[in-house]
Amino acid sequence: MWLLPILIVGTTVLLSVPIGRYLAGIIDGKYQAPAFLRWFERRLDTGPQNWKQYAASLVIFNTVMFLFGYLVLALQPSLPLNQRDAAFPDGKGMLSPTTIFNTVTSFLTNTNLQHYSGEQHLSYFSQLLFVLWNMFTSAAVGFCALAAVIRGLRGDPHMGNYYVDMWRVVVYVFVPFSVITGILLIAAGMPMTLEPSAEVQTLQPGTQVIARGPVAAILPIKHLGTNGGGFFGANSAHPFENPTAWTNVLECVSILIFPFSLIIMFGRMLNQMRHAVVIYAVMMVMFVGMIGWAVYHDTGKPNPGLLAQPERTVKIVGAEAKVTAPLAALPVDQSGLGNLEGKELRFGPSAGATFAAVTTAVTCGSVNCMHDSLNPLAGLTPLVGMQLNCVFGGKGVGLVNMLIYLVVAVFLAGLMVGRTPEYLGKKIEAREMKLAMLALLVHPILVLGPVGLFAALDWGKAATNNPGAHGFSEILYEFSSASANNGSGFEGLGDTHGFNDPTKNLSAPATYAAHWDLATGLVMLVSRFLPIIAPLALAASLARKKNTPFTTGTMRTDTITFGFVLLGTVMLVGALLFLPSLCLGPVAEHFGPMPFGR
Amino acid sequence: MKAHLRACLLLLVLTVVICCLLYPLVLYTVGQGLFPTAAAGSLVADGDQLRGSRLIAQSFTADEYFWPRPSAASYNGTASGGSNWGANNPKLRDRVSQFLGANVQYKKTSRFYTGADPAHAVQRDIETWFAATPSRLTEWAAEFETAAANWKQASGISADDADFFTNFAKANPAKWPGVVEVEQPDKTKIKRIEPTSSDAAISANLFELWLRDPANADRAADLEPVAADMVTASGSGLDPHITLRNALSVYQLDRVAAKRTPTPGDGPKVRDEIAALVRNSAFTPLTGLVGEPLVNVLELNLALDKAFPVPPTSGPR
Repeated sequence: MWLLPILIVGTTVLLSVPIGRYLAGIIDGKYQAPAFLRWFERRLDTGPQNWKQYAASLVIFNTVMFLFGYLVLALQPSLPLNQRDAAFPDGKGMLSPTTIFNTVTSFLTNTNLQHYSGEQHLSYFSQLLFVLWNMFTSAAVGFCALAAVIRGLRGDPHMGNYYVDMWRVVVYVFVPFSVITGILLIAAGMPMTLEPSAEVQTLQPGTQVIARGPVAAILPIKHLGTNGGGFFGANSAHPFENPTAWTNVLECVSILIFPFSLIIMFGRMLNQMRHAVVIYAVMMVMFVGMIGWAVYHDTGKPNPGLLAQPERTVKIVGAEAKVTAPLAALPVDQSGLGNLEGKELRFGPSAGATFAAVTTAVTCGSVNCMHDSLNPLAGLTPLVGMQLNCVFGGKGVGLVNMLIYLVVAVFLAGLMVGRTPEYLGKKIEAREMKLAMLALLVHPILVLGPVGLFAALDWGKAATNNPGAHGFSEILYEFSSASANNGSGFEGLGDTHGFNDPTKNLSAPATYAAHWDLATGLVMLVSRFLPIIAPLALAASLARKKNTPFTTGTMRTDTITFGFVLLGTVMLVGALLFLPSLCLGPVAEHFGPMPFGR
Repeated sequence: MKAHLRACLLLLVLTVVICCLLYPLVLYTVGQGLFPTAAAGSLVADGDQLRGSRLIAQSFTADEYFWPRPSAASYNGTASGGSNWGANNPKLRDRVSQFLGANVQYKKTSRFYTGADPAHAVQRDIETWFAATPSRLTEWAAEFETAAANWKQASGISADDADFFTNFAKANPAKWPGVVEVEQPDKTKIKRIEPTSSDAAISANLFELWLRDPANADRAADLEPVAADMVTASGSGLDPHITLRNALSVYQLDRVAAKRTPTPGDGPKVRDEIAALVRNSAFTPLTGLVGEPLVNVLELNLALDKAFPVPPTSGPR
């Protein structure tokens, strides 16, 4: 049960050291690429940029990404590689406009929240030109933001050049890593074909249509870029997206590898390795806690829904008390397997819970089991991972979030000991704290506000797939996922419209699909760009300051004591913001009647 | 601004060419060249005819085959997905208990494992228990609202007919509303309700109430547990495996072996041979490091059809 998570985390930690050093070399331009690649690099170089120019370039390129993405999806029916098969004899049509908006924002912001189902709604052309391209570029955007912030903290005279950074990250980092991972995945059984779905004669009389496609091209970068958008609706639970236990380990490692390595890169670029190790350790403590919690409550415990239930009296103020009848235990042998609903067998028992922790800690959003069916308390792990959003966190942006917490921790510690707070030799003052609070508060406001709105209205209530507290968890999960740019879901939520022409859909469009499309789309946009731009400004503001000399009175940020301060800050701020909502969701479900509403 | 736009567009073109053309092309070439079977979707052929993919579960409902895990996607290879039901969802418990009610058996060592067809002794006992008290049907409809509503929908009863079960029970005490399809003069079929005291729906729907009744405590204690993977739906709905303990249980092996025994005397021998075949095809994930032994259902059933063809004389049970 514990071997699998240990194997995954252990391998990644070992790999993160050399890869972190390699990344630092790439970003600082020390690594010499072949001459023809450097020629392209020089064509892209528009010269050194200050933080405003860097942020502007970032925003302009993302606008181009939006337009390009919208165009590709909207023109899907008339573009090539739109395979016709038994399930879709006319090929794939156009998605509803709100779904296109949602999907384009979702891939642009590295979220990959999917209000559609890959094998039903996208042509191979859209998968390759839209999904694949966005996965490479949007992952690089976060990476570049981090690089710029580090340059600011280092006190560089400028923040680098955005286009050069993008080129370096995509071409020197993502492409080679993806090729290697992709070949390993095909060798283990993943499809890589442009043939349409296969139609087979089943052993019992009948036919089965099996969707396939260029899966192995998407999968490596889906994880390396912590994107998480599945080629198929079932994401990495689908046997074609994750054929064996080995591919499952490989996928977990490739989700974690860059977020881990970036901390090493951070330490190396700043020449502050001890400080980086403290951050690494703090994140690791939270991460191990998340995995341990999920595995213990989901693999170590059976599905409580199938166990005996005592007679309960449910009392609600202002209503008549209700007595629920007792139930006997069903004769199901769950020993050694844990909760199997929504899990695949071939990855091993603890794989689903481990993956749930991995994918939400680093805002990947890929899933290898249905999070909606996790045991109630195990469902806390993915929610907490997305709400803290700094346990390693997404590519680049996770560490940027942690830096915000760092600034807050330094500030709090400074108040406690009565000194002017300093970070890396620079004074933290009012302007920095304002920017930090702006970046920090966007997330809770954009999670809790819309959750309240949707839970109060039919928009949310009519969309839930489960009764009671679990239904609330579905709404909470969706907005946490959107705002953390994660993209996984308690997928029971009815948020899919599908093709614009409703008669072409296999299942009827959800009533409030458009509401969900627009609300989560806007949340994703704001939660992506404010927490990137505010830290850029913060770093630039620190870069302008004089270095205060290091004395015995300086508060050190590379000690175990500071590690505890940082951990405490994250936990405290996180708990204050999100604990009440978690109590209404998974905790209430755990203590409430089961099954609910009988 | 001009320089920005030029850089933007150049970056767009270059990344599209590299990431969406060259990179997939490399993987495509490697896939088609070195791993053509995997690259095409691990399809399994029998002669010229494609029979499925070894990675994708297909539906098996006949008694002579091993059954895969339940599928929330109805084994549709173009619409993967799980049930997304939480532990507190009554639909989850209903689905499991209905499967159990229709299939569960007493332990072979139990004193209740008797009668002409001991494998179905539980179902007979539930029907007897149902017939003994006239109020069972209304009790069930009142407590198991979701299951009752689903039954109504499947049986062609309007959801507005709120008093259907009460009225039926009044007119036909201790009977179950059986559904019979009748052909009309114009060849269309309609569903008609006829009172019955023996129907698969009785044991499926009443199992929970039967199990809970203290009068049945002895019998409930003697039930043979079902492996969890036999009653839980996978995340993709296409999980191609079941656990070895599920395959070797009385719920799979005994049923399959009974159907594939040519002469009645050979029963135990065929059962042992099939069990050996099942064991030989089992593997443990990560080369034995995690989890427990699994078998691939499609591959197993293909091997079964070759080695133990269904004898032509074996009629319905």
